[in-house]
Amino acid sequence: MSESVLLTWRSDRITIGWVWRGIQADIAQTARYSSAFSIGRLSLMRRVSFMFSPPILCSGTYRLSHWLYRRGLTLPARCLSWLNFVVHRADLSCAAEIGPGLYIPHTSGVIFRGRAGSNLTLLFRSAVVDDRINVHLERVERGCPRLGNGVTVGVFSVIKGAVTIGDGAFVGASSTVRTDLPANAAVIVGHLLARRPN
Amino acid sequence: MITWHETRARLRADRARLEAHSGAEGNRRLMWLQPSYQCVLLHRLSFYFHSRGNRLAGRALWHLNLLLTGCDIAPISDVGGGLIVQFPLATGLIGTVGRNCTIEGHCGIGGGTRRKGDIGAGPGLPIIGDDVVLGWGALVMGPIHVGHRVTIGHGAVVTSDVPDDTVVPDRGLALLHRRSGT
Repeated sequence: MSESVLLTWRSDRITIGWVWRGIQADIAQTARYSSAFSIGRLSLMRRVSFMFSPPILCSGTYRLSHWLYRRGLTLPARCLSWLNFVVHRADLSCAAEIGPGLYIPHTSGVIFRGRAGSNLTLLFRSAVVDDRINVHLERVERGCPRLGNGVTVGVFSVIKGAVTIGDGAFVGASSTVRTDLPANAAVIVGHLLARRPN
Repeated sequence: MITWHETRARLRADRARLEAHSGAEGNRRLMWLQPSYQCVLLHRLSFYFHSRGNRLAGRALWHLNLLLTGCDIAPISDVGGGLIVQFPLATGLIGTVGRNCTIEGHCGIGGGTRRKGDIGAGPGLPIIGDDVVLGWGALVMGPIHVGHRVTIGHGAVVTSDVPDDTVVPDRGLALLHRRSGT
């Protein structure tokens, strides 16, 4: 795979405006995914309604804690991400770097340590973690996965170790990924459960 | 019945192993904020009170553990020192576990629904040896013995006895597709 798809989103300066723009991008992404319910354009009322739904509360809390972390306030950042953990049951490390457009439809059991580009989708009980049996607190640089833009991590799936996932990759349900994936790859695990009738 | 001395010794072993795995970059002052440490600490206290006969305190601490860390370690489960639960979220543990067990995350140790035989840990509960590593989403179910130094792979479902020094492979085969049209 070429090095160009390995480029992940990396922001050098995290400001409070980055938090706000990130939350707006998360709302837009959530609205895009739940377009089955939407009628017409994204009105202010729907926007506010999204803002108080668990996906946006969770990702917004993560963005605030990452902002605190990047300002050097490690203890408040960890307290905030721990509050996120207790309330939403999603373990998004305050040191993780996730681009705008994060979408977590069901926050329970989601674990994220690492770096990801924009438009990341984390489904129920997915885990993106480092390889070592390591309970370190802050650093995500070494040993953690790097995800490109537009990656979807499926239900019960695990991405583990210092791997690189290309742009637009799809990791299917209950799969374990411990190798690099090229761009637009799809990993599907499972057995043939149903056959088409003759 | 477990003594307070033994509980302290196990907690020391947990803490030492956790700090050894935290590496140089881990911030020791914030250890109490780690769910990995919280869940082990609360389970030790819960098991101590429960086995001493104070079942209310044991169950209250178990509830607190479930609330704070999402880790369901039952107060009856006897876990040896040096337990590491890397990500306690959605992890359940009922049974007897030896020393230096490592649980990665989303794991389950406990009884299945069919067999209720008692091999020493309780009706239908497993006994796990020392130095066992459970991968992500691994399940150990039923009244079975798992030996020492066993590594259980990602998502593996173990329902029969496992001898010592065994590696249980990961579940499933992965098919890699390249999406068409993009």
